[in-house]
Amino acid sequence: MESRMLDVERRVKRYWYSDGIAELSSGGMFILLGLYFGIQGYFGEGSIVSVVLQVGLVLIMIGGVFGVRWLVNTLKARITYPRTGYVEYRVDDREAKTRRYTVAAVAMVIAIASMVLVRYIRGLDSMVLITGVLVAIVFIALRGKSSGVTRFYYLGGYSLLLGTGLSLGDLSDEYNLALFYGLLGVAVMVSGGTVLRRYLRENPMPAEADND
Amino acid sequence: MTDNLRRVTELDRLIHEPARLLIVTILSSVESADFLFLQRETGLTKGNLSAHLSKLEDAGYVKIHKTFKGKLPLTVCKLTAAGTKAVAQYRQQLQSFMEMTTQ
Repeated sequence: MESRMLDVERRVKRYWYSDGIAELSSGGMFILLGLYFGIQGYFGEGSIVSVVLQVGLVLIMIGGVFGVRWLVNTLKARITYPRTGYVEYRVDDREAKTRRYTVAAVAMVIAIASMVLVRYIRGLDSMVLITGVLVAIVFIALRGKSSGVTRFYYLGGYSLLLGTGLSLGDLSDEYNLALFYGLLGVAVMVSGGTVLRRYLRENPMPAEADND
Repeated sequence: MTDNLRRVTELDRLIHEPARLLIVTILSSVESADFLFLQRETGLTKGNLSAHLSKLEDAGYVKIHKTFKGKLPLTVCKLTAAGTKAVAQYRQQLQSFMEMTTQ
């Protein structure tokens, strides 16, 4: 009985990812980051554009977080809630907070360990490798493990492979990161798009407001 | 064994009913959920779900709020503090009963 109750709770948590909207939005954010690093790589360090972009990164990150949240909520209100119902999740869940802090701590330890390790490996681009590892941790530990959604494990593995593969190449830090975020963003968007397509096919819009 | 049986009878019957247990379990894992979501997740008919929600509301376990999200009418259900406490207590009682029977 207890395990069935836990199954129900997990299913409710997975509902957030059932339409792929969150992935489509975060995939777009990754592509934006890829473009940022690509432009920075093109203009080179020390140029005015590069300095402006470096300041702009903070704005992109903060604006991106709020922008993605707004976009996800708006799209869900239009697409998901009329079809399969509205759910408001708890934001100050103690368990979620502990999990987030644990993942952040583990990610920091791995980042430091990776930095130390890659110093001893010649010809390896540490930046893209560490980014690949960190993004993989976020996908696997924060999203996959907590929600039980299998595709996040694949995306985590893809991030790891992409980071490792690019770190072996000859490209500069900026171009490596541009390629990493760009290719990751495309993969995340394809994953989200596929899920959204299936969701829309399986859940047509009800003919009339059907909520009580 | 008698003690075990007594523990079963102590379980909150309002929650112990399978459909209502499903409803409160769903509501205990979120801040709130609407009627449509509960209907899809439980697989109950509108009438059935309404009846169960009314019983839970009468017991003070669930708060039902009718509102609009844009042009969409929403019947939002939320577990009250008493409901949250009742679910936690039910789970605790059930777990201790299971532990006793497996010993």
